[in-house]
Amino acid sequence: MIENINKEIFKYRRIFLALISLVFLLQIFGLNIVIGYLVGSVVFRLLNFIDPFSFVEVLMASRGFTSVLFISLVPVLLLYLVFGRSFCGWICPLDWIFETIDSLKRTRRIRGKIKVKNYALTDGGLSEKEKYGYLAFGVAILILIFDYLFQVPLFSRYFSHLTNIFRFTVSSSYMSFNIFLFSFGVLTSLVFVEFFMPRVWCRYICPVGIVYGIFNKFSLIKLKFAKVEDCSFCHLCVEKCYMGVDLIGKIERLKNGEDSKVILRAVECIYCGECIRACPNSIIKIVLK
Amino acid sequence: MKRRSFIKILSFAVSSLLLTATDYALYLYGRKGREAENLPPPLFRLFKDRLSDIRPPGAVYENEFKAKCIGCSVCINICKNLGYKSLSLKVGLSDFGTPVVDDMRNHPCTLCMECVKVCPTGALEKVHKERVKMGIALIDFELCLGWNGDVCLSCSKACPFGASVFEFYNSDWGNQPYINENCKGCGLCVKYCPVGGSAIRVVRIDDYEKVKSKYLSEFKLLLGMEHAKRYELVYSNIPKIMERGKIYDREYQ
Repeated sequence: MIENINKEIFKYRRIFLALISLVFLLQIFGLNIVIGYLVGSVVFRLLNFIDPFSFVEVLMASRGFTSVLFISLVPVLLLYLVFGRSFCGWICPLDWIFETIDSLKRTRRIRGKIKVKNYALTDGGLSEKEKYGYLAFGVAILILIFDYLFQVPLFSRYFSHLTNIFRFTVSSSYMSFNIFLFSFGVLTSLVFVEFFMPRVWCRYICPVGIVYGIFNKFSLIKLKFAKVEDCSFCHLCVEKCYMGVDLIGKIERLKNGEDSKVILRAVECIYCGECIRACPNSIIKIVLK
Repeated sequence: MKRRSFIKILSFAVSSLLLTATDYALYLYGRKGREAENLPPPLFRLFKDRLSDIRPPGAVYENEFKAKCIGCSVCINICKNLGYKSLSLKVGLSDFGTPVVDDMRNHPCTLCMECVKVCPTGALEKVHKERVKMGIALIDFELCLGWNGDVCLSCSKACPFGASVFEFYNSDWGNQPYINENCKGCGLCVKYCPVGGSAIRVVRIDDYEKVKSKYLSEFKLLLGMEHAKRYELVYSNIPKIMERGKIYDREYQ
């Protein structure tokens, strides 16, 4: 069990993200390490994987039990019971795309209807998290209700960014041009939303992310706070956290004794490591135990 | 900084446009060599083209299939990687993103059953080749050479199940092949038929059940027809076959 994951690893996160997407894209050239897309895939033609939200969608839509479905879930379950919501920070191609877009806008502060100011939570009063934090659960539940009533896995088959991003790039003579245009449309809408309302998709809408977020509640990986006396409240951690984890709140509660557990299991945390790299006093740690 | 971000956005837009253009070009290239699409498909008179799509082998019952298929495209990708290219993505309303066998003429299913092994949700069930029921192949008696005065064995030679599926009613008018209900619907016979645009068509079982009595009655009528009438019929079919002969898309052996 790893007590503290080294700070240096997080420097290579974006490269890892790009590499994972590359492995999927290699299918075009016939290199079959993985076949399929992030919604469902086969590794070395042996191990089936399926996205957990798609798993639940198929359960709802088919209203029954299929053994193959459960077998495909097992590798994913095992992986994310250890790593929690790291999917969002280390595998999802949209994270890479969104970060590229965000880096284009560093000099301008764009305020959409939902005020997100450099990703920081507003102090005092109702934060965005309390107002909209449960939106993602609502979206996921609405989709699942639709799936049950109409017997169609709506999100996975039509709108899932995990499929559409690869249909947009891998599509060729064996897919129709209409599909390419559709995927292009889905992706462009997400990019457009990101440009004006940074990370609203990831924080408040994406149903795939919220299912992984539930894994955070019992995963092996978690946030740990050490030496909270040294915290100077510089707020660099919440400034860098684009998922809206309430780090300062936790540190305050630890300092004044309201909370005694040094562990934080936040549903939003994607273990990107930005807070760890930002903190000058090395208070925040990510642990695997 | 402003200029740099402008260049970044511009390069993103240009690369998207280039990707779209390349994709469209590949799509148009993929449609090359399908001149036979201008003629009515075989058995058009029976179906008037209101047919449902053929699903990959091992597919569960249609409503359940639409509930289970998540559009992950693993089956399509593996079919392409093995070189068969039979499966493609359907664009529809309720079955958007599901796999179909759309071009039996050029890329039939070879029943390798690899797609079944990799489906993560069980929309394609692991069944043996023998129990596959993708559909049934129906011979168009107006277009088939074996029913209009010649002896052609191409379809039966292509069939992986041979004698268990094909029956021959040899007569003066040709070897008169008939495909019985053991047919799995793989479509190999469709590909190897020398008539331009094929004289065989694979249809789903439920579509077949709707026209079964009409099809069988035509079959029985032809078998029992007396000589003079049959002569007239065959000689009226010949121009239709000749028209398809102008489409050079298969070698006649």
